[in-house]
Amino acid sequence: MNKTRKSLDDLKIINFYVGYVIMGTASLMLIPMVTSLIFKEWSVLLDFTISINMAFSLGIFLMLTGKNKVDKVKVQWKHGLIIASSSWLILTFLCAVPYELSGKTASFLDACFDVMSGFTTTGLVLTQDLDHISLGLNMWRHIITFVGGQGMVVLALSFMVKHTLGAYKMYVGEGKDVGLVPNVKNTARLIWKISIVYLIIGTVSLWINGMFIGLQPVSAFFHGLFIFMSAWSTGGFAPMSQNILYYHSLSYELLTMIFFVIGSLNFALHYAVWQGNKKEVFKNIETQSFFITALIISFFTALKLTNSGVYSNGISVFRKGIYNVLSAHTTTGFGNLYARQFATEWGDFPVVMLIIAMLIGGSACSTAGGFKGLRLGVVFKSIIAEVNKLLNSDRKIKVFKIHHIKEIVLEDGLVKSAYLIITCYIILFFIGTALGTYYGYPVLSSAFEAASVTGNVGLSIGVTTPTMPNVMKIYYIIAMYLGRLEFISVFALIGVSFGGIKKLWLKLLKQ
Amino acid sequence: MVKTFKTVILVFIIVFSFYVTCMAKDYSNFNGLIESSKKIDNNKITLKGEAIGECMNRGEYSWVNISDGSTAMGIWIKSDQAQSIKNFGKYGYKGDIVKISGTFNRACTQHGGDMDIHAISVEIIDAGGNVKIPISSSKKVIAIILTIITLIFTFIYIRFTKGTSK
Repeated sequence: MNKTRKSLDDLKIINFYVGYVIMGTASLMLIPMVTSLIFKEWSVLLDFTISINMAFSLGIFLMLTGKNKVDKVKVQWKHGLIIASSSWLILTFLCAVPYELSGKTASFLDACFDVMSGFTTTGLVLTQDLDHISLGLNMWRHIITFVGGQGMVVLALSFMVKHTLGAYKMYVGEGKDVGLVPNVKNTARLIWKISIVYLIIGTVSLWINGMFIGLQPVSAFFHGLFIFMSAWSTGGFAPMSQNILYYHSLSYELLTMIFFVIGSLNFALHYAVWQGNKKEVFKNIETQSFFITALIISFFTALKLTNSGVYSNGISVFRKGIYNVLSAHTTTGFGNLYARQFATEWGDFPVVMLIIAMLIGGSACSTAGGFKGLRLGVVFKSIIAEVNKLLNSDRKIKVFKIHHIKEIVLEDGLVKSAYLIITCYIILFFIGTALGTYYGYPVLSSAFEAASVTGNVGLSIGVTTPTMPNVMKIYYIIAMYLGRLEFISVFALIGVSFGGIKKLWLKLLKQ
Repeated sequence: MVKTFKTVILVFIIVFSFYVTCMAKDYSNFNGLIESSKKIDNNKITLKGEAIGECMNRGEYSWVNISDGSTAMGIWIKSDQAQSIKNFGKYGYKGDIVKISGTFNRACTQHGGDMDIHAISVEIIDAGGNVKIPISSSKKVIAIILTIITLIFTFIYIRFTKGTSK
C-alpha cells in the first residue's frame, strides 16, 4: 500500500513540474500570435490560438494533479531526469500542432519530426513549401530552435519563483551539468541573459547586413532575427528553402559563421570571458580540442576539394568547403550548397571528413550537439596518461589534469563517463547507418545522414525528405532526442515506463 | 525540279537540326539540374519557375531566386531586367512564373562557388499576385471551445491554490 502511494506521489511531483515546463514553453506561442496579428495572418492566428489552448489546458491539468505534493515530496534524481525527458516528448507533440494545422506538412509525424529537429537544434526539415509559409509559423520554427538550444527546462527554471528544491536535478536531466553560479535558478537566468545579449547584437548586425545585400528593411529584420536564433542555437533552420544559399552573400555567411562558432562554445566559457577571464578561451580543453579538430578537418577537406577540381579558387573553397565543415563541426547545419551536391560533386573523402566533424560536435553545456570536444579531450588525455603509466615505473605516480574553467584531475569516473557517452553515440550512429542501407540508400549517404541526426547537426545529403520511409523518420526522431539529452534521462524514462508496465502486468496476472 | 526539291529538303534538314542543337535545354525540375550539374556546367539552359522571396539589388546586377515548387535556384540578372518581375512568392502571394535563359554554373567562380544561372533573357509567362487564404469556420469553433476549457482550468487552479495556501 505504501509502495503504491509512493509511486503515486512520484507521478504527482513529475506531473507538476512537467506541467510547469509545458506552460513556460507554450507561453512562447504568444510571440508568433502577435506576429500573425501584426501581419494580418488570420488563419495562422487561429492555428496558434488552438495550439496554445491545448498546451495550456494540459499544462494546468498536470500542475493541478501534483499541486498538493509539491514541496512535500523531495525531488530525486529519477524525478529530475524523467521530468526533463518527458517534458521534451510531450512538448514535441504540442508544439507540432501549429505545423499540422498550417497544412504544410505531409503528416503529423512530419510535423513532430520538424519540432524535434528544432528542439534538439538539429535543423533537418520535412515542412514543405518553406518559401510560402507564414511569418507566424516561421517565427515559431525559429523560437523552437532558439529555446531548444538553451533548453525548455532552463527556460522554466528561469521564471520559477517557488518550488525550486529539485531544480538542479531537472537541469542536469536536460543534458547540462555546468553550474555558472552556485544557484541553479540563477545559472538558468544567466544562460538566458547571455543568449539575449547576443540575440540583440546578432540580430542588429544581420539586419544591417541584410539591407546592404538588398533585402527590404522589414524583411531584413526578420531574416536577421531568424538566422541569428538559428546560428546561436547551432540549429540550422532558415526562413527560405535554400537555407544560407538564398542570400548569395559572403558577408552574410561570415556573420553566421562567427555566431555559430560562438554559439557552440560552453556557457561557462562565455561567463568566464564576461567576468574578464579572457585567457580561459586559450587554456580551455574544449576550445583547444575544437581548434585542433576543426583545423585538421578543414585542411584536409580544402586540400581534397582543391586537388579534385571541385572548386577552382580559394574563395570558393572557403565559402563552400570551410563554411560547411565549420557548420558541421559546430553542429549547426547551415548549408550554402544543395544537399545532393555533397554526393554528386564532393566525393567520398570530404563527406567522410564531414561525418567525423558532425560526430565530434561542439562544446558540452552549449547549444551544440555531438559527443563534444570536452569528452574527446578527456579521452585523448586518458590515452596519454595510460601510455605514460606504461612507460614509467610503478613507483612514479603522475597526476594528469585537464583545464576546463578550473583544473580538473583526470579521474577514472570522468574518463569512464566520457567513454560511455561516446560509445552510446557511436552505437546510435551505426544503427542509423544500417537502417539507411536497409532501405536502399548508399552506405555513405546513410552514414552522413545518421551522423547528422546523431550529432544534432542538420546537414543533409538528400536522404531526409517527406517521402523517406516512416520507420526512418521515427528512428531519426529518437536519435535526435537521445543525442540532445545525452541518453541518461531518456534511459531513465524508458526504465521507469517499462518498470511501470511490468508492475501493471504482474498485478493483472495476480488478479 | 527534282534537284531543287532535294536542295530545299536538305537545307530544311540542316537548318532544323542546327536549331535543335543550338536550342538551350529546357528545365522545369531543378533537381535534374543539380544531379547533372557536371554535364551541363557552363552550358546555355532555359528554366521556368516562380520568383520567390524578393529581388536583392547588388548595383548593376541583382539576385532573384526562382523555385520549381520544391527546389530554388539563384539567378544573377541585370537589375533593369529584374524590374520586369513584379510579384515574388511568399505567404499569401504567388510569384510571377518566369522563363529564364542563361548560362548555368555548377560552381560559379564569380560568386564564391554558388550554383547559379547568369541570365541573358527573362520572360514573364504567368503573372502572380495575391492569394486569398480561407479561414476555416471549424477552426474558429474549436479555438473558442478550447479557450473556454483553458479558462475553466485556470479558474479551478487558482481556487485550488488559494484553498491549499489557507
